[in-house]
Amino acid sequence: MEGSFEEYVTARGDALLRFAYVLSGDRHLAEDLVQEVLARIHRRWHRMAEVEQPDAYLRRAIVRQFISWRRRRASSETPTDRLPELESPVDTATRQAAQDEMWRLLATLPRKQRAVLVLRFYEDLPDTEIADVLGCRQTTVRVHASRGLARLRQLLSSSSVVAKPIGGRL
Amino acid sequence: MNTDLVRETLRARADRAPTGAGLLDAVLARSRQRRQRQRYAGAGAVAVVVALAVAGPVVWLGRPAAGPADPANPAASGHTPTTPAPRTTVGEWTGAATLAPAPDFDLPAFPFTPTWSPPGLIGPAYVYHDFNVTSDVPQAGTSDVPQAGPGTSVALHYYDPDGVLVHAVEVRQNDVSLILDRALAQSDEIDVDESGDRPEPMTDQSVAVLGRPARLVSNSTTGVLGWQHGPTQWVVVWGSPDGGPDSVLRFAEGLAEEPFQPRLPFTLDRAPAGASLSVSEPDRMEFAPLAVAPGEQPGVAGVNLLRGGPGMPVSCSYSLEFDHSQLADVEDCPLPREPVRVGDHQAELVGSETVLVYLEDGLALQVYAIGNLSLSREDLLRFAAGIQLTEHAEPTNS
Repeated sequence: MEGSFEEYVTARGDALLRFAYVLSGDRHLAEDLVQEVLARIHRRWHRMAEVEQPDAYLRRAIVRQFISWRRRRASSETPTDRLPELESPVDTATRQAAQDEMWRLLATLPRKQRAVLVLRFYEDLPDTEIADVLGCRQTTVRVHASRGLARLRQLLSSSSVVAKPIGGRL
Repeated sequence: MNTDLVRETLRARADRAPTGAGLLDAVLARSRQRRQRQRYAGAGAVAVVVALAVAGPVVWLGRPAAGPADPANPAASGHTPTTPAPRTTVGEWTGAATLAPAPDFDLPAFPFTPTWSPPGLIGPAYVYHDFNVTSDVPQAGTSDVPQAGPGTSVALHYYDPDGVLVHAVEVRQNDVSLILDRALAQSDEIDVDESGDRPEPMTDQSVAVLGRPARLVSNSTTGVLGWQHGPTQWVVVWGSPDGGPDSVLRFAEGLAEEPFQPRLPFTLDRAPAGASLSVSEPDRMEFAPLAVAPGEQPGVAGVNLLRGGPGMPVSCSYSLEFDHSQLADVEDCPLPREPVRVGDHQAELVGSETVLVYLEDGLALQVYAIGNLSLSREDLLRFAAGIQLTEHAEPTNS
């Protein structure tokens, strides 16, 4: 890889923030994740010359930072199976409402399930690469994906927001 | 439900992500803070973070045992035989934090002069720590306490081109075995990278250095080497991250028994009275009080050389730590800033205990006096105004 750290952050900062945001669902946390990961790598940037795909490396770091952050937070959080309250009444099955609802439901997924879905459906990564990012086996990736989607399906079935599928079935 | 909705949602929501404006500055500021936190941590020694104002109780665990302390009466302050030599002490405690003329600090020479060092590194830089009074505080109840116990340490540091400490040799007055034990036991905790990189485990082996038995704790990329060189003299060498164990041994074998004279980064006209110089590094000098009254919060005062300019980001945290888990950062410091002048320089008072003095070439001095060394506004500015850089001053990013 060529280029300075400053050049990389300037060129790729937005993309990393977008990824961190869809991963975490929180703007402030997204900024924290990206800043923390980049600050870690800053002093060792010269060693990134050996890394063919710095984006993939940093994406992996962000995912693991996110999972680690969530784990630390988990000790002080009270688990709940309830869906969060809707912010506003939803009376149509519009695309926007469906996306709002999906976004909200994604936030209720366990961190690894959400990470798998983000890597698969936002980054379009194959399971082999997702397994590499998460440091697990492909079968584990498939289990997380299956359970995450099943969870979304279950939650959606109890919601009236998404009245009709917009695309193909699972 | 369909997966297209998942994909569509994620991509649509990505447009609401924060932008990268200001990201680089935020990352660089955080990186500097990280390096401050990690000072020495990778080498297994104590770490210190001194940023800005007090954000919480100051921990003070490293002071050697002493009798009742009475700052108003130095004779009754319980100074022990481990009290540093007068040449590092500034005036006398008068019962209130004031300034006194700074002495000509006469620090001990490093007893060796390196004849070889790993290529590409910048150094050597002279480093002094007085653990009798230092604010580099070990955490009570850990095996690390003895390694930082009373005594002094002199070291030579080497930095990479980014100013990061990567190689060092240190001479201590106490056994360094615990440093080696810690490096061995915690090798999987050193430089742990949450991106998933894990360091290669260390192995422990007996070697000979300068005709003396030594221990080398190493893996294929780095090593920590320690040996007893005299009745009260132990030496430890930390290898650069990519130097390999051979470079550690070669560096140690190249140590000539010729003194390397001290190099201080600053000259000071004045310093806090009743304090002693506890740390001298290329980018900082720090003082700690010799006496603390019962129940009184001890303090610290000093100067850091940083890269930055007006409005530079700062941290509010002021913490003394032994391991990373003890650190609590407080970012986005809410303390008020007041523009002032220090000599010919633009400066800012940050809160009541810190002043940032902006120098040329993107450098700044962070001058602070905290706890029972906290100075009046006028004295803090006088303290800052009397600080001059020497040719050995270097912002290290460590």
